[in-house]
Amino acid sequence: MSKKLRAQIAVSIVSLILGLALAAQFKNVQKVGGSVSLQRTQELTRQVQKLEQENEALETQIREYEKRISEFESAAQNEGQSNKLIYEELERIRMLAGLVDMEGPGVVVTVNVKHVSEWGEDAIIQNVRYDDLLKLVNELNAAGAEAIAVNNERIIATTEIRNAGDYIVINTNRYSAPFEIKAVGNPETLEAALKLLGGVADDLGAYLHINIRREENIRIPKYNGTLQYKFAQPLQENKS
Amino acid sequence: MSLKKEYLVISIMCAFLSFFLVKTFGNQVYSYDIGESTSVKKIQELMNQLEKLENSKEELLERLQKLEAKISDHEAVIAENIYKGEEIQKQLFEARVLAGLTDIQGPGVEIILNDRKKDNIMPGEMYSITDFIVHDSDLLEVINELKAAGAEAIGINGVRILGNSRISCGGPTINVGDDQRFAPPFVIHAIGDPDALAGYFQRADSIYHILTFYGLEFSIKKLDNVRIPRYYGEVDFKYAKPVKED
Repeated sequence: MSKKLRAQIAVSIVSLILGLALAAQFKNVQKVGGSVSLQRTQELTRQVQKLEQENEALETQIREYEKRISEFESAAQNEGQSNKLIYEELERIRMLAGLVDMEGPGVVVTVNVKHVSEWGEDAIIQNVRYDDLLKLVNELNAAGAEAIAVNNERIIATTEIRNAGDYIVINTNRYSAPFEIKAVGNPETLEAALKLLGGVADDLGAYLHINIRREENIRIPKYNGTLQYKFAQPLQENKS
Repeated sequence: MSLKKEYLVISIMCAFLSFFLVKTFGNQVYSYDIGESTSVKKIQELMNQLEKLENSKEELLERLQKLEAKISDHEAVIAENIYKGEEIQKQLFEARVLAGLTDIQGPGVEIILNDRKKDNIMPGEMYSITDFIVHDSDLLEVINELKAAGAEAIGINGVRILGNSRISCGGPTINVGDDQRFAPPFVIHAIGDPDALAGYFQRADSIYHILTFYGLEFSIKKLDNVRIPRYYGEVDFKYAKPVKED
């Protein structure tokens, strides 16, 4: 009887160890697989998201093209109407490129240095820096501005706002304070975006004098430099 | 015989018991590693989704090209009937190039911007984690410097940058353009003089020095040919109208 009991205990212990070892083994295998697959999952998720966004953009574009084509088709019988369409398209694209004077409602933001009196003497806290303007322009774009100019320099795809010594260069022309940023768009949205609590106006207002006012009609000049690509070439052939 | 059966039953039960014991405790310890067992299924699911999306992208591109051809046919027909029609068509094409509505290629640079790798942070190094990640303002500065260096066309992760493109913070991601969200790494393509574009980041006041100081990945590669896709999306002017001169 005692012999049987001893054998039983021995077998139990061995089985116990075997089971533990087995479970530990499974655990190890799974852990390695888990961390690798986690990375892979993240990467795949990112790719899926990117493709979803790209497809969405393509669909928007397709809808717009379909709209244009139906416009062409409904105007096909009418010569005057179709001619108008093509001129309108040219105008619209030139508007997008920043090659047309624009007007509309929006906001005018003036940026200037802040004067403080220090020991009875007039002093400024800080000069206007290029990145102050860059942030303002970016914020206006995020709020849906349709056309922007800084000191009447139209902001287009290639516009830089960069420091050069004591000046700020915009579209290769030099400027210094005060700056006036004009933006056409929904005036309420544009103003609200800048005046957001803790937003750009709050940030910059700590050391600059910032004034934001809505206007019914703002005029924004077209880009007046020469726009010519030296390096870039369109991929699709000019069919004309 | 009955003795052997008894041994067998006990040992199997013990094995099971210890197996589940480890399982239970193990799960407690590693419970943060969510999705271990579902990961294979999840990956398969994602790969299927990816394939579907890629297929539909191809279809969409094909449709887009067909529509584009149809539009230019319409334009050509109209142009035939109007005075100086060819001139108008040429102007249309040139305006589309300048407005960013055509795919474009040329010499330029490829910049890859990424957060600092976790494993090269020195133990005991004084830092704040926000110093080590790419912010919207960093991206804005890099793009601005490329423009200052004379870039003619710029794309971030395949999104064409126009004059009204914004770059803003979207929590862990960065929003570029209309409504595109990206997580690092950011791949920036710019067309222009490769030497001028790459050389600009050697200026003493370039953002390059700040970002690399904090150990962020910032690689610049000059390329003979860079391709940047056109701008996809709606172009709508609701508030701005062209000024009519009389």
